[in-house]
Amino acid sequence: MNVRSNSRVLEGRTYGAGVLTARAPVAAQALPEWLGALKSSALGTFEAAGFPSPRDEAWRFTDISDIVSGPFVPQEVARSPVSSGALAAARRLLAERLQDLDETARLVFVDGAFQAALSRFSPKRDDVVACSIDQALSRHPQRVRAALGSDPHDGFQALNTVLFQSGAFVHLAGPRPAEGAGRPVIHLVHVATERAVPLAFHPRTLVVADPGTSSLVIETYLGADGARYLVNGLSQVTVGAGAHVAHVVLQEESRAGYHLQALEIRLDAGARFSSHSVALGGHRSRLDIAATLEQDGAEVALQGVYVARGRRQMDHHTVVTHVGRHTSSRQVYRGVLDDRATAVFDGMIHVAPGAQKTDARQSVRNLLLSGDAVVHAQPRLEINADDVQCAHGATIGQLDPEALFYLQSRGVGQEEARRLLVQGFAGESIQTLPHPPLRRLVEHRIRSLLEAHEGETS
Amino acid sequence: MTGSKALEELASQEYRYGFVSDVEADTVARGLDEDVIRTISGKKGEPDFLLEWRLRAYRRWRTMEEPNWAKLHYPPIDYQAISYYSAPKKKALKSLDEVDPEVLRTFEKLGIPLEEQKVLAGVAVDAVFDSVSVATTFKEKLAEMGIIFSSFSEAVRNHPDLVRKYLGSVVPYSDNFFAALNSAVFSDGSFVYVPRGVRCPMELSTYFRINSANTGQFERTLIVADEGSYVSYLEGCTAPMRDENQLHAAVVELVALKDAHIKYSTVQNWYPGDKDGKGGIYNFVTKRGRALENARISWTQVETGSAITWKYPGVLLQGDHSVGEFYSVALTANRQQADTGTKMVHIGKNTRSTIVSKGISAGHGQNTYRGLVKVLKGATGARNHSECDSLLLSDTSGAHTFPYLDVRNDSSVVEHEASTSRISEDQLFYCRQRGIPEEDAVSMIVNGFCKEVFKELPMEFAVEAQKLLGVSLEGAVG
Amino acid sequence: MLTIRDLHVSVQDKPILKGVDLEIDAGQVHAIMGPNGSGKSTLAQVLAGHGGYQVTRGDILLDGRSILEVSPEERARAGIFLSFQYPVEIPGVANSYFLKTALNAVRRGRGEEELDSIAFLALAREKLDVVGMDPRFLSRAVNEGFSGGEKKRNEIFQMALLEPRLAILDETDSGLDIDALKAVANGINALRSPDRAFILITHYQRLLDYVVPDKVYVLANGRIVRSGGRELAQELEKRGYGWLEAAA
Repeated sequence: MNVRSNSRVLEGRTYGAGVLTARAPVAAQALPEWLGALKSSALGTFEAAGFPSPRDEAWRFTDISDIVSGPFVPQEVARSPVSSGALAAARRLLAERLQDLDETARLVFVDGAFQAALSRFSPKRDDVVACSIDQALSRHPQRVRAALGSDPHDGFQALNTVLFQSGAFVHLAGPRPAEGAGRPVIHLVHVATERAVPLAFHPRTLVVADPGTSSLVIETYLGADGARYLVNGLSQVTVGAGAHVAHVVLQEESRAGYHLQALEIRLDAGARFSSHSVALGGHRSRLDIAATLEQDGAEVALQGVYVARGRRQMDHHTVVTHVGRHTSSRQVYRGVLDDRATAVFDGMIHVAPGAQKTDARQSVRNLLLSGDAVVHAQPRLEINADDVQCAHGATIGQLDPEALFYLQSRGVGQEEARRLLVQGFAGESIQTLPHPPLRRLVEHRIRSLLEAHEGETS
Repeated sequence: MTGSKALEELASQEYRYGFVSDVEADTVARGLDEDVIRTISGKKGEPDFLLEWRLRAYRRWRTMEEPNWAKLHYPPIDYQAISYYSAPKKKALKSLDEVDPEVLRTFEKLGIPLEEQKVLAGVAVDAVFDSVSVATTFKEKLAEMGIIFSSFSEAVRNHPDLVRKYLGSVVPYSDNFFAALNSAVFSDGSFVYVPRGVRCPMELSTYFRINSANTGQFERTLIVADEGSYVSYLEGCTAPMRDENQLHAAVVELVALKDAHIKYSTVQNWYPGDKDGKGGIYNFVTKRGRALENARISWTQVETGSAITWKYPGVLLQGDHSVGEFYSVALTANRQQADTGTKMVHIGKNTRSTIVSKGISAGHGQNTYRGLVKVLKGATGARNHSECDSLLLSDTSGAHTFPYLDVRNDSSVVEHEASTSRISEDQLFYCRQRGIPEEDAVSMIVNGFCKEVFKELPMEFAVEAQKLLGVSLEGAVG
Repeated sequence: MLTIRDLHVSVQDKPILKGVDLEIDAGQVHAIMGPNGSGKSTLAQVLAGHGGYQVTRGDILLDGRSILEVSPEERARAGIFLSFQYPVEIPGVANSYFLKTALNAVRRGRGEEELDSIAFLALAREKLDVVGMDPRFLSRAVNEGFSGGEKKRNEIFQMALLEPRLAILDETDSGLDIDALKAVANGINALRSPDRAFILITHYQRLLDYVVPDKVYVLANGRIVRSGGRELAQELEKRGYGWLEAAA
């Protein structure tokens, strides 16, 4: 679909129309020349590719019409300092939702803008750089340039490149942390507050892990109740040889919030990457993970748990491409669908010619708790090498009535028994979360989500 | 690697049915328009309703686009370069004596004797040569039980009401591009009707043979199993070796009424093209069954032929407690490509489906399983189990698995498992240490891999299927 | 019958056997013992013709003729049988079908008539008794889902059926409970004959309590470091391998 041929949905104050007005601010921003060129090129890409259409296989089940024709105004257009009221709201939300997770660094963004006052570094250590992209652009422009890579070809990702104004830059400098310092935990928190004009944010996250380093990067997305907005994020992670990055996306957008995020990972030889997606909020949310194991011996583990209630739709799309030899990948996703919720899981394992000794496994299990919930699952294998071990499994089912009865016979009420079993089901994935304070937080959030009454979630 | 030689042999199997028969044929000029359709219909003396149906299908087809979502690569097909009708000259056959002896010899060469006394006990055969049915055996014996087993054309003449009632009731002409084309131009095929409560005492079998050059084959099969009846139907296909690609676009419709059971087995061995990918049949087939209350439809297929295979035999599980099964072996060697699988649509309550798919990729073959399991909102208690295994015999081949699971009911259970493997050097060495030559060991291991599917085939077909897979390995010694 | 001369074998350019000499005549039972990693299993695999090993020096002669260039299946037909340390699973292939194919290939090699299914089944049932196996094993897939003991019994059963001239048993006793060990030993003893030779490869002397060897060798670090009679095995049981490894 081409933007120009798409004028009908672009009439009025639509997101699509807002995108077209982006050309001016791109030109107007005082950007390094190379970044201006990258943004212009991405705009060209977006204009050529347009928004994905339902005819694109990867977007068949993700209805984006209310994003494209929605009233979202790109952040640049509505450029105004975050009001003190919004800041106060953000503080309240942070206090309510996020306790201290014993982080090395916490960067907080409110309505797309970096807030130094809400952020903190403790203790300061010189093997970690964590700052906003604008800061990084002045301090380490070449590193930012390398991490941004080239122009992405997907429509939404191109849009992020065109419109991102800020975001986080994280550099793990190797090889060893200072004496006594543990694995750095970097927490990037994005808070959306309720605004008169629905905004579209395009946060960009760049993580560069030098060879031999080990780190945990958490991205948390929070939305104030009632806030209507769009997050179109793009996170890029480069894992150097022998390095290990654990990455978490904790998505708790507001009930009216839209969350689209792409996560791209490149792994060098012997590198390890683990991803954990915890999706609990948003009206529509979608995480696209693309991991390419280019070099020999690289490993990825993708885990996810999604609990969708009300009328939410939650999508997970993964593409794991094995190119090097002796690479391995594991994918384990667990979904719980209640009320009128919809979940989409589309997971591709692609083994390129010559990627011998690949070991790839994928498992996705969904629990349907309501007759009005829907699951689309597409585990896919594309194998072009013969000396490989690949397997996937997908199930869609319900709570085991025997187990339910067993709990009830021990005096546990039906609702409580259901909740216990659901937590046990999701627990398999939660147990894989790194960092105990984070695990406790997620357990708590899932429990309160399950305990909430339907009316509170829809 | 010790195994590579035998595997290469497997990947470059010779096609045994590639001869051409010298038969005088009545062939319509190439190209397709409404006149061609009127001509085909006229030659067959069809009633008006059928001509009208064909024309509606044709008009619909003209508005449709050839599907391109399958993982298949082939040059564009020129639909005007194909002849849509070819029949051995000699019409209105009353007995086998009137069939062109060359045609009879052809089927004999294929191992399908049509003279009834020679026919294997328990198998009735309908033979389709190019576009028309040339012989149907055991007709009278079956008729005594009220079973109709005839060519499609004959059924149109003798049982127009049955044809009218069920034609297009499972695969409407608008279903897809190839089904629409078939509906417009289909020339013949088989028709089966099994009356209420009757258990068909023998396997019914159709052998399809494409002979003429530049013709497409568009047969249509309709099987209706009335309440409480049972029928097992077998289908086999071969074609000559030709450098050009030939199009085969068939439609099969199965109707299993309450408590009926239809077992449909296919051994598809159309010419696959040579080892460089020259020639071979393009096989675009729509097969679907509709199962009413407590009915059961089982598809079993062994797909070893064709340059391109595009087929997804499915079951609409409409009635409560109905059962759908799909057992498949697909082998792609040389440059063959197969995109095949099934569609199980759970509509009724407590419906069950089972999918077992075994893909074998050799040479440069590309093998894709594509399957849909859909559980509609009202399909309370639906159950599905799918198992898709791939065996890769070369590092230049591909094995792809694309299941779509779409579930809208919270009391259903859908399970899908898939795996990819290859023959291990350890397995080969173990067999060879016991004195078994390498090529026999490969054949044995491949057959073992397919066992779950072969055991679903009627005995004679199972033997044939095993031979088909093993055929390549003969002559590999030395 | 079998002569091994100065045999050097490497795996992926890593030398494993560094000059092994051995001579075994028909009617004899030789035991090769040694610590883990000494090259015992390599010797067994090389004798059977596994392609993953490179013979870099020396020779293996069967009845005076070198078999280095002979394929595994030809060696099997010439009467060499290897009982695998880890028998391989072949899913979907029935034991009976596998064995009938193997037996007929071996019989063809010996110039004997092939057996039809009925004759084969009669023979197979007779041999099953030798190792105390249930006839149901015949219809199960080769080694698939077998317990460790069942797999080893299945190997001995195959040996009984194929009637080799030279049987090499690679750690056939490992991981067996006492009943299975006795069954395996009975199987071997039942097959002992003046025109058949056995090579028992084992870590422990336990099996040798039931199958008495004519000769015992100790393999350590790729070489035979000691040879002797049955008493050597008993000495090893008491003293372990350390003193010999130090000597090697």
